[in-house]
Amino acid sequence: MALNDILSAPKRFLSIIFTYILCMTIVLVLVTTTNTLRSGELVNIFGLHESDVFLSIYSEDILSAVVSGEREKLEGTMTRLETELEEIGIEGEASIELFIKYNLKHGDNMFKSMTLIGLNTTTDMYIYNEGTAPQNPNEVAITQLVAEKLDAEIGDTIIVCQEHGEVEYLVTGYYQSMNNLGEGVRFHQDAPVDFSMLSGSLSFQFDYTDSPDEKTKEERFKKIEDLYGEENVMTAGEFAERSTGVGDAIDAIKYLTLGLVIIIIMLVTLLTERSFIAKEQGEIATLKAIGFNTSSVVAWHTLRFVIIGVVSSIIAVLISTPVTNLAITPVFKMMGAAYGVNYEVNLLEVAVIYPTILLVTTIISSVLTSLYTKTIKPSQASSIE
Amino acid sequence: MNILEVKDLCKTYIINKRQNNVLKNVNFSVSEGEMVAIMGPSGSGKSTLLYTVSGMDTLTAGEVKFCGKDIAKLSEKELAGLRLDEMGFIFQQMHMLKNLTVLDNIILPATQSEKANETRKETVQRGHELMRKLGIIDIADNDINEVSGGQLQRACICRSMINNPKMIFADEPTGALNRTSSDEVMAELAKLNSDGTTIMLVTHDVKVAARCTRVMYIVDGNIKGEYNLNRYENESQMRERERALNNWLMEMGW
Repeated sequence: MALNDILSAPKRFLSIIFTYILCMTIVLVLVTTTNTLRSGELVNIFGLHESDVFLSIYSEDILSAVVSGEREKLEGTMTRLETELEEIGIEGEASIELFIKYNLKHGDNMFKSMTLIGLNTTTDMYIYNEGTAPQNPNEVAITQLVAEKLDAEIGDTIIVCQEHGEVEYLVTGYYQSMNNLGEGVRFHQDAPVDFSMLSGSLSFQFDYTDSPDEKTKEERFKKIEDLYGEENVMTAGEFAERSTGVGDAIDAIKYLTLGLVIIIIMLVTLLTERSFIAKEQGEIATLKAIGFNTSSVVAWHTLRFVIIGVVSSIIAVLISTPVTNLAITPVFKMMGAAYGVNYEVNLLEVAVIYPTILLVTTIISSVLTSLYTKTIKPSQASSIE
Repeated sequence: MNILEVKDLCKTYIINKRQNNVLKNVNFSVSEGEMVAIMGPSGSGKSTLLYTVSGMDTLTAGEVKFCGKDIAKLSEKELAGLRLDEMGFIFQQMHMLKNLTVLDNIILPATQSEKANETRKETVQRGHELMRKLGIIDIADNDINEVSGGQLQRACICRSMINNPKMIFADEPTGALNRTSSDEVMAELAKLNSDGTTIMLVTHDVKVAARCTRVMYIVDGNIKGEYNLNRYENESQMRERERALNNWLMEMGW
């Protein structure tokens, strides 16, 4: 009967279906966005390589090395880190990203940009969206923003105004970076960079060299946290979240929105069900007269909303990723992710947990509202026109 | 054997804090196979009596036993089950579910009942048989707004019969129909009664009442009188029955 009601008069249910889909999609977009902001993959969009552990330690040592421009000091600190971890049974390699601000030229165009060079990394460890990694010391990869500012393409030669003079570099590829809103040039690891001009660095990164399984990685992570303190040790996802600084805020918005959506769904269900009951009083009274009890009537009315809820959930789940792409990608692009983002879709949350929460809300509202049919007596079947 | 026994039945409504005693100490019984009409002036309590004895409304005082069961002592679920399995209902307004076909409406009580313990196919077959019996098999797959009033009321009769009830209650079954349709519907009800179905109906129409085996006249919530008609054997007896009944009703104050 419930399915028949919906198929016989679909227009009657369209507004409810639309509301449910809209509400569920909004929640799922926020869920996916929050998960993406906390995913390790986002690290790649900061122009970094994804590591097993990120460590915010030895800040004073790094600061002093950056200020003094002593490469050896930085390398020494990394060696110290590797040794300390080896002593607790964790083997791997440390690395660090260093920033230098340089003036760049191409033709009549000039632009001052942040550049990156990795210590103890190779350029093939990073992701390039077009072209290839710089293979030689006189090659660079640039971001779309830099390419636009300099009007330079892959294959062009740009000039970097370094300490020892103007040096030519061949552009071999494009990458994306949300650091400095999309600004960036990546040097080859052996590029003639003067470390005395360093302007900053990111956290230490540590990569295991023995390809451990997930359980081992978790155990090691715990050990490292015990050694250096929880607040200083991060996974790639935690690092990405801390870098954007908005993960917690979006999370809070997500829960607030969920609360609002729950209220909206309850209200829509309540109002719609009351209007159905008002219009169908005769039918309800007749059903009771011929022997349907209140619980059968409640079940019939509730089942309609269950069917609508399930259909809406399925549609919302299917469209949530494309909608997220449509709505959120422009924001990431404004932050520098010129090629967009691979969204982290947690199937359990997107397809099960959140749709279930909203479906349960629908069912509870529908059941509670349809209990009103208890007040309709079978004898009213004769008096209702 | 008495299917229905009513003893000192009282029904009171409270409207705007005022007590309205609609039924006052009503006593009667209905035997198996009878076709009983309840007649009376407007507001006399005819429909209230019908709904109270069928369990569609609660009684204020007294006792109503249907097949030996005191309906006042049954829970809502038990009462609904009794109405579903043992009673059939026909209303003046011919309420049916508009999203179902005529056949689906007819078999709806059977889909809810466990009495017959049959498959859906068997239920549909029984529905078809009933429709054939009442001459409306052609409209089985029609929507309810694609059929005439007479056909719809006959569909309501089929619905009331689908669970093989012990008794059918009808409230003005011909009230919304024209003369021709009324006659058709009453002929069907009379046929059902002659096949053994007990029927109790409320009517204003003497022609309808004349087809019954007994008429009860109710005034101000009390049964003022009863008139036995017994069964008629052919339509030619109808005019005489109507005349005799009319005379009696005039005596009652009709």
